[in-house]
Amino acid sequence: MANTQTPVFRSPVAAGSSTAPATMGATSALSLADETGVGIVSVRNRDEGSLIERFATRFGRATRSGNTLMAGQRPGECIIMGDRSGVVGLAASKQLAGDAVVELTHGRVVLRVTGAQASSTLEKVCSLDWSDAMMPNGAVTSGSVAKVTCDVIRDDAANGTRSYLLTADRSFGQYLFDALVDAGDEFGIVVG
Amino acid sequence: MLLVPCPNCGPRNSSDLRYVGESHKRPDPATTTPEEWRTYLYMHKNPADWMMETWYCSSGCRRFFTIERHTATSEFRNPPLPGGKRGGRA
Ligand SMILES: [Zn+2]
Repeated sequence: MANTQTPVFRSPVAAGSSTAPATMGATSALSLADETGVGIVSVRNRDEGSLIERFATRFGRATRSGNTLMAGQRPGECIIMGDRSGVVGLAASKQLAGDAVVELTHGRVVLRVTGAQASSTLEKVCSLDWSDAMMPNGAVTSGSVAKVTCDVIRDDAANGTRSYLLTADRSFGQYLFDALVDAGDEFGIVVG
Repeated sequence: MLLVPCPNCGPRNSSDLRYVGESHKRPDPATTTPEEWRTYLYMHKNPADWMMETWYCSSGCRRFFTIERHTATSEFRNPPLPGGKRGGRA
């Protein structure tokens, strides 16, 4: 077929769909960013020890190495996030017999809530305990956020600013984005 | 709100989990009789007492677990056990 087209990856969150100010304020106490498109690979193995050894992370914890984030999302399941070709290559290079390796980039929406008021925002739409004691930097959990099952990673910015990475099924992307904008409205959330 | 202790995630709001029901041991499908299979699928003791039951942590670790709950007071006792279908009380 002559008329072939290269597929274009699009986020499920429409640009400019929010009523929140579309400027990223450097001094803002709260911001929401759509990071959909970041590479995501899931590696599962019944042998939790083997995953810990290879990916330097365990259930409930994430480790960051440069742009790559490795998170123990569930018992026996590690999620690798980062530059797409990088994470696919990393998973392949560490793959062992018995692994189930699935790339999830196309199937997940990735949102990042950053700022001092990030936990106050998420507390409104989720019953998890977002305090530093339960959810320190590098903590990984899953739960219902605005009634959407989300995987959550506390991944603070390099300067120490509180930041949470939320991933959910792609089809919930626009709803989840709107729900977070709504929850963060009283704290002056900005999109960017 | 009912706080359900998941063995992996810790205490969670019951709305984050799915209630599976009384924990019965599954008969071996190769040797079971239709009567036993029907009993396994449909018959429940429904005690107003302590009961072993299975929950599925659908919003958290996505694992089944079994725990003992008092059906009249919704208290939990004894640590949760990973896996379902562990067999109920006699
Ligand atoms: Zn759980």
